[in-house]
Amino acid sequence: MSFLEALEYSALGDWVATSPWGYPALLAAHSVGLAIIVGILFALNLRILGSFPGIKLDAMRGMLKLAWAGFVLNLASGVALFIAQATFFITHPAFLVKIGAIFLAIVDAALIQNILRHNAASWDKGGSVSTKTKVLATASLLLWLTAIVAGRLIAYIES
Amino acid sequence: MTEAFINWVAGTAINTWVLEWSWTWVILECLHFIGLSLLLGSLLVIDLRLIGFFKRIPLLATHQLLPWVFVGFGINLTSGVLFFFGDPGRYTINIGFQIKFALIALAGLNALWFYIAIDKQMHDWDQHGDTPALAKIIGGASLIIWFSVLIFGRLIPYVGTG
Repeated sequence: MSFLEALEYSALGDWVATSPWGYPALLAAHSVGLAIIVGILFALNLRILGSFPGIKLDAMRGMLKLAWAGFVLNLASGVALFIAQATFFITHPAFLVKIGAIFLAIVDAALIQNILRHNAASWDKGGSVSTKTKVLATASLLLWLTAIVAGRLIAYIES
Repeated sequence: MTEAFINWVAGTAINTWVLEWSWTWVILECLHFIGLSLLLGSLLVIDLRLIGFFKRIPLLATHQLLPWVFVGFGINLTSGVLFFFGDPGRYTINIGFQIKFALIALAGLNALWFYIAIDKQMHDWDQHGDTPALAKIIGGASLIIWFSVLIFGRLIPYVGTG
């Protein structure tokens, strides 16, 4: 039995796959986490790109903690959903695109967070946001859109 | 009565439009997820500040996020209506959909309550201070209701139909 099959037959994998509420409850949690991490990052990226200037970048930066909490929720619920159908997901092109996009989006968010930590306060005092940061914010929006679309396509295209 | 309504919706040109191309449904689903991210992300900023968190954000400045709330809601209202027209028999009798629909109406009433009881007074509040109890209640209710809308919506395929 392969490692992935062992995951599917584990207590958690079996619970997700066979209990009446395990799978829907995890999907619901996964949508809540999505709304938090993608929602907060959408707002932050739109702010970096010039929307709602009345909120200081340095103040928006504080919301990233919440975005990371959303990510932890989705990492946990996502791992549980993966375990239940590990052999199906591991070869699915849409799943692989989704995971790749999320990996890049997380690295991107960490880079943005680091840049804002050092520069947001001075940009709020009248400097303009660097082009590099705007490029990272645009990439963030596109990567999360890719993750959402690829995630949806998992249910529609063959593994 | 319900059946007549379902039959009417199923006979409309919109129903044909939604169903005639097999990729329309998944495109609408993607739009619905993008719209909910815009809607809930903006509401998280607005409502958490209204509850009293993130005091470095000026209360009145959160109004500048409202266009994104409306863009997100508009995307989801449009895609949601198209889902309904595409499969009226399934949604009409689905308990998850019925609860979700009632919760959206409740969210509308809560927004109206905000507009009547809070919106005008916000100018006089300390922009970086704590908020009154009523503001916390309305902001908290908004987040609870909208996240419940999200959860019940996601459960539609898994709960009983009637």
